[in-house]
Amino acid sequence: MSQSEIDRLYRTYGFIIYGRCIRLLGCRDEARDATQVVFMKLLRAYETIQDKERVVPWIFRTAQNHCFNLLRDRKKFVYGVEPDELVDQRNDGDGFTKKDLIEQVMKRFNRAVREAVYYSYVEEFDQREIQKLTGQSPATIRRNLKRFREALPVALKRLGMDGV
Amino acid sequence: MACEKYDKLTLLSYVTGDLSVEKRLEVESHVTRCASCSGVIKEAEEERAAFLEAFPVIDAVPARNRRLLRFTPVRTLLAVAAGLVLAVGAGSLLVDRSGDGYRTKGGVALNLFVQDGSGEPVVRGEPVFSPGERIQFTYSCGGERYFILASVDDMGRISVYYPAEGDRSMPLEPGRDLPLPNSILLDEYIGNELYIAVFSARPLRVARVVDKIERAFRERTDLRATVLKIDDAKIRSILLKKREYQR
Repeated sequence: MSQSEIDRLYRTYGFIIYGRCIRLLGCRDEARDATQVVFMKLLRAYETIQDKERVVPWIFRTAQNHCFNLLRDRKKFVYGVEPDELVDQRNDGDGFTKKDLIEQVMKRFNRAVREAVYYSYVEEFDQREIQKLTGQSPATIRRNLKRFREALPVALKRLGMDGV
Repeated sequence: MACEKYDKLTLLSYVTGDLSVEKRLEVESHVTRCASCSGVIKEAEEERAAFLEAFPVIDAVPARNRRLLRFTPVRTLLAVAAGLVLAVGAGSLLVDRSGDGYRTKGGVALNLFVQDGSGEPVVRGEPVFSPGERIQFTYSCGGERYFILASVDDMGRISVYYPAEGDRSMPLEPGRDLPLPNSILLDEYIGNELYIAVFSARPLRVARVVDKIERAFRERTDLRATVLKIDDAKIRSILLKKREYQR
């Protein structure tokens, strides 16, 4: 692949990759590193994606998978503390953020729930878009989101997401 | 989702230019009538502009894991009967990170680093820099231990960096990845600049090397196509691009 083609792909897709990574990781440096990794994967995969309209969904899935793995491996996971208890512990105004919530979700739910939660609450996609990305049926998506909402009522309320 | 007709993924594919012609025209027609979809597109374009302003180039290595790397010339050196003829290429984006890194034929090498805000030398994936930045070279050599470093820019202006004084090549200590004395402060010129390192087994006159560079540039004004041949000297080069905006 030529230098100019690499430049073109970076200018075209870099912001989409970074946008996904910063939403999940919350840290600029980590998001930048993750962007680089995912971009390198895109360089390897680009020619194999025949229908270029599938590139953007590919980026969403790949960036999400990569960031999920990073979050899963983070050492600051608090073992033995239920997510809702963690919310209560953070009453000092520091705030339990959406990112914290996602981090807890990463460690407690399976991939299908994680994907449904991420695309619904972080990317704010509707069920049609989530189905396009994950292949989950609307019924499965609803079921997975319900599992999530029932496990974290306090956290969702704190984030103002209990009405979603 | 933007609206009932088009989802965000489709609109992003429109921004990236990945839709078929037919679909692109449909979206364009729709967007003129749909504030929601036009809002999504506008937001994406703003996001792209902000991203490229913050990160105009991509690093070759993660921010937290920098280590010594080398630029890999696009075209390799070709050994011919009369000596080495250099096929000059632009610095490549992806560098060789295997083992000891890239080794050119003949055992000489030139590497480029830029000093970051804390003065630490780092490698940039693509050699794009801004005026005011400081660059640092390291070298590797064995028998060809006499050295001249000069540059020529798009306008054909030639600068000599090493030797700092005197009219002949400066002697180098043989070894690998040794730093050249002093860093170089990039001036205000915006454009491309080809840094040319001439390693030789005996001292060469600086004026002769400058003359060779000048002739080579006049023959091919595209810096990347400059061909330089000086006796049996070994020549390495890096094409550095200077732009006004940098991360």
